[in-house]
Amino acid sequence: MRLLRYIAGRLLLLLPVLFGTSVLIFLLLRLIPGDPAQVILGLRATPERLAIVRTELGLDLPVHLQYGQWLSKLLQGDLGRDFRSNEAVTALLAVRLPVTIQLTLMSLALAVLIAVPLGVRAATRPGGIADRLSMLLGLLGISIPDFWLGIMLILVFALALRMFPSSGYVRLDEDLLGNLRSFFLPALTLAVGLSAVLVRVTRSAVLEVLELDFVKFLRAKGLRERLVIYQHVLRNASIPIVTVIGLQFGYLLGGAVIVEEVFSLPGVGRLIVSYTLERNYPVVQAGMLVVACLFILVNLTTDVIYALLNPKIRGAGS
Amino acid sequence: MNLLTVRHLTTEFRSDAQWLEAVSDVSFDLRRGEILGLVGESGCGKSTIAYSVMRLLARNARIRAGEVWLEDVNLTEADEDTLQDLRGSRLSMIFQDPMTALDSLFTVGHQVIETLQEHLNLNTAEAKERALGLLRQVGIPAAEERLNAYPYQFSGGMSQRIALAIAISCHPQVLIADEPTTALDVTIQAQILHLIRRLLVEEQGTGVLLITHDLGIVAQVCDRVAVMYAGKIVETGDVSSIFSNPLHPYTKALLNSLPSQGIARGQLENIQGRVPSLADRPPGCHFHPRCPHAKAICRDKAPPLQRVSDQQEVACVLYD
Amino acid sequence: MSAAAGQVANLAGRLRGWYRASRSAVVGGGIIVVLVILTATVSLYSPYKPDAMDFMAPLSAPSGAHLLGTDNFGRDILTRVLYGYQISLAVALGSVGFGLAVGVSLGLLAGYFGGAVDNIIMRPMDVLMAFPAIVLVVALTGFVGRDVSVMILAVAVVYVPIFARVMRGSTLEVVNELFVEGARARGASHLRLMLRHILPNAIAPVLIQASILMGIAILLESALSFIGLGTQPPDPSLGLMLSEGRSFMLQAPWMVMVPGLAISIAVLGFNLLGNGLQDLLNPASRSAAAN
Repeated sequence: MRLLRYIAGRLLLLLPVLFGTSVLIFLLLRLIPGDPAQVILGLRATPERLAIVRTELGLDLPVHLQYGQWLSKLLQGDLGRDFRSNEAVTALLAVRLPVTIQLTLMSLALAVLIAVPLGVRAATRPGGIADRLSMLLGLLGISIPDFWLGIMLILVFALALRMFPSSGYVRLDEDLLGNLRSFFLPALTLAVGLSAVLVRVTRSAVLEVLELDFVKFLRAKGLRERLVIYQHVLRNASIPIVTVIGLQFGYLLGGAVIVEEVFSLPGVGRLIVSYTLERNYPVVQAGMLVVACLFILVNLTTDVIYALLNPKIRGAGS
Repeated sequence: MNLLTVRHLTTEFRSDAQWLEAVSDVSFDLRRGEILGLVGESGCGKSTIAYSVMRLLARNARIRAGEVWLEDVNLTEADEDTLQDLRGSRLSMIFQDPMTALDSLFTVGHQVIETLQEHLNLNTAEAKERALGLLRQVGIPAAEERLNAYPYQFSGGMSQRIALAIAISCHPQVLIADEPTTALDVTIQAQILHLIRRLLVEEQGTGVLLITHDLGIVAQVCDRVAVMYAGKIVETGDVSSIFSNPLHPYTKALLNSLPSQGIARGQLENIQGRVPSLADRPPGCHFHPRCPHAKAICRDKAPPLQRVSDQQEVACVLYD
Repeated sequence: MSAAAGQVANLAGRLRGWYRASRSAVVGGGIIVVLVILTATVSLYSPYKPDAMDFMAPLSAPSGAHLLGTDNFGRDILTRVLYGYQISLAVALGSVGFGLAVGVSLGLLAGYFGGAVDNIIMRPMDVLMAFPAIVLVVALTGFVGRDVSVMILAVAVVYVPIFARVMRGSTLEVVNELFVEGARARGASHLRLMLRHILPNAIAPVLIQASILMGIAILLESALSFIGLGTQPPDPSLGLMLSEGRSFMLQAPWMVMVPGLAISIAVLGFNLLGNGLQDLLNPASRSAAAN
């Protein structure tokens, strides 16, 4: 019960942010110079034709009415149509979104698998190999550009060793193994940057928890060190770790824009880039909105996990 | 019969480049069915002794010399696996602040049960049954419901009872209690101490090393007492002998300040000066700068503990 | 002469002191200083022009004539990297400078006045932060134009809320300190309190952030140029070189290796400096890390 109320509270807080986000996206694309009608019709369009197209697109209305229209359609699940192909943007996104979601989730999983054990080991053995390795990862991971790392991985593992495909995408429902193979290098590329941040946070969070009294008591009662660390200490350290994962998810989504480009994955990021280049407003608008919503959704999830981890918020027991 | 035998224990801490002795050449025994009080002002090294015995010293501390035996097991030489087996089963410890001793993210039931399952070969149902019994033993009302409660739902006194339940769950031979009641108010204090006396010492013959700065507690529950000053035991003996006939000037000073219980603040009313810090303990007898009877020799010579009667040992040149 | 020698010795001593205090600050600062000097003076010593093509020597491997090889047009890669740094550093300096000026002012106001002012300033910042940086920057540059000044502004838009948030936080920490109360009791104006008393005491975390954001700006500039929304050919930008090199990465791997390394080194420099500053300004975090 308390958990539900907590989530409801969080959702309420998100509403203004969502509203602001939609306004911002809309204004951003309206205030910026450039005439979509011109883009659609090309440079040799007659003024009459331009006027007709503008009316069709609703561009002759005042901005706040345009926003109202867009928003009311948006609330009905209509994201508009691709300027060029006249395809529904929702259909476009339905194809692209799963790619980006799989990419980000896989890299999140990889980053956690790399960073958490390494960070824990670094904290429990200060000055040891894991500690040095975590420092190195923490520094290099945030300094190396992901698109370069991706290219280098392609060069080594795809072109030289031929272990993975260098580009392209196999659908999950067609060939699971092929799908995982096509996602591995891009996910790893994205994961390195995230694990750099994560390993630092894990290390310092674990170090901090290790100082707490309850750890002394756990050891004094003779609990196996593995349980002390991986059950109790890690769970206590997981609150900052989860928080940072939530905050860094934006980094993953942003990185996806670039990594999808490098590995020619047909995701939302690549969609935004290519349609920005051809000034296809409805598609870019929708893409940005989806990315922002994903980010906000992840932050909500973070808050919920946070609550689940904390018995005081979860309100279990008597 | 000695349960715990400590001989010439010397423990030091690293501070920058040098090692500083926190405990110097400390020896004592703990017998079956007795409570030995280890008393002294904060910073005198009494907790360091506890952690040395448990072999749970912080990373920047080490035992430099001496031996600690739990009956026939040499704890100072034991490997980590042996120690982990012994801790919580034959050798237990409870701490000063019960509110922080439990992991706030797990139910207290889980924390009792995991201890039982670590040391005894019990299935979950048996362990749960045992845990329930333990909670009842230490006087937790509505124990069945409380198993599923989280630490934040307990008061300080109740938390210390839970910690005690965990510590005694595998019938330890030795319990180290490090200021177990300092964080609690006086009535709860008495209840917890009474519980330790009845459940452990009287029913099971456990030996308890009770660390405290409060001579009132020593008078209340201890059989014997060792008085520490600046890393050394300066006087030890039966509680009745020490209280009726204190020999060391420091013990006398402590007893004189008893009603005000002022020593927790590190200040004795009737002796000047303060406890020296680890880095600047004076040479010779560490107490001499504050001692009303100090002689020239006290600056150079640190007297060893010497037996002055059947019940009493003291480390002071006055009794050579 | 001996005075100069004395000065050198003095400087060396001071460097040693800093090095002891924070190795990473000195190493990072050193990398940046060297890069800036090499980059600023490249036209004085480089025998090549960044866009001078040599059709006799395309895709040549690193050699005495071309230390880091040439690209598909026979252009000297080292020279292009050094010119590319000029754009990277310009974007980094410009965006961080702009972001600092606006973000610090907003954060200071929000933290100092609190209440409604705080809400009016910070809620829009929350909205801006709901976008991944690169998405915002892609949209801005994509629609406005592909030009250094646009990139600077786009990155600055991302940075303003970050600086504002950090500044607001550290302002809140000092705003109730005694020295502020004292100045207020002596009748100091709001402006004076903010600029003379709070700003100098609250700016440290912002500066640490600034160093790290310089590195991220370099990453963003090269990423933008890489996907074709930043610097346009034939201007030498590290991201653009990398993207051009992709088509030749099997025949001429140096075309992708060199610009990537170049970006990494510059970013590493700023990250090391940022870490070092953190250690210097907040010794507690270092001792916790060292133990």
